Amino acid sequence: MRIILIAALLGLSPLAAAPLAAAPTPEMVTVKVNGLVCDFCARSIEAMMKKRADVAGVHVDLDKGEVHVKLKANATLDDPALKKLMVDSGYSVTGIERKPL
Amino acid sequence: MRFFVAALCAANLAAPAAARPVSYPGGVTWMQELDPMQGSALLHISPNRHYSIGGRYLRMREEGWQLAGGQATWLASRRNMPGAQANLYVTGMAGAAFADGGTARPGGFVEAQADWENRRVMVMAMARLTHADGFGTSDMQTARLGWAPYEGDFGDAHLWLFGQIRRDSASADRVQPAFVARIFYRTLLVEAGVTDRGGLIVNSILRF
Repeated sequence: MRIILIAALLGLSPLAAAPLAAAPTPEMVTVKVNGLVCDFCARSIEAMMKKRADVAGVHVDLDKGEVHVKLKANATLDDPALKKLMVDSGYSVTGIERKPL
Repeated sequence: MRFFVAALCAANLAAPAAARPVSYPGGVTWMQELDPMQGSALLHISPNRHYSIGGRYLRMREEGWQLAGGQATWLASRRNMPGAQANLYVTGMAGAAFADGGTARPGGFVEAQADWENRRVMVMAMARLTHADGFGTSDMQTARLGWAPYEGDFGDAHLWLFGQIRRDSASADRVQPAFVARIFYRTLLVEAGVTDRGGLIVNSILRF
């Protein structure tokens, strides 16, 4: 009887619902930048991103002027921080798009 | 036509190899330059995206003296455009000037460099004023117009071909045209060229 009561209380508890909530998933972020014309110079983006533990990978698309950043699950790299990384790398950000992987 | 020639000449105040003389925060860069007039080696770090500081050794091969000291470069302006980028840098160096076996005297230079590039065309211009006690004052201007035969992707080896003109008052105001080929892969850039009189040009940059 006591076991049934404890099980019922746990079932009603908000903690019991936690595992059902959506877990943070890895993201692919597309950053559109101006000034992206040179591979040698764009290596600065790669170097800056490698300083972040929550970045899983970086790819630069010189044709489209885009930087694709693959974020790990539970990443804390928000748009302002991402924009600062790009500006420190030498480029101007014109847009940021995020998609779950 | 006159405007085009004037613009080309203005652009042709350019630097030998200096691609991005100011890097990202914490970026360390090694640069080496060699041509018939001078040779130099520079190691610098960029504390932030606005400037770099480092040490340079410069050998005036024709004049027979050397300059060693500290150098600072300031990114005065950067314009990021869709498909293009333009930069203006100001550099100052101060240190000791000396000839082989001679006494060291104060010396240094100030320099301005401008560049504009898209993925197929690059224009660079540089002007430098050098002074060293006991060795005199000289001014040098270099200009480059470059063309990339193909648009490489990120991670490819990239090739650029440059026409270069340099004038140096220390070389009897002689104007020295040259052809230079640049190839870079990831963070290594190498240039090789030849002047109209057969002089060798070898430049390199390694960023790490």
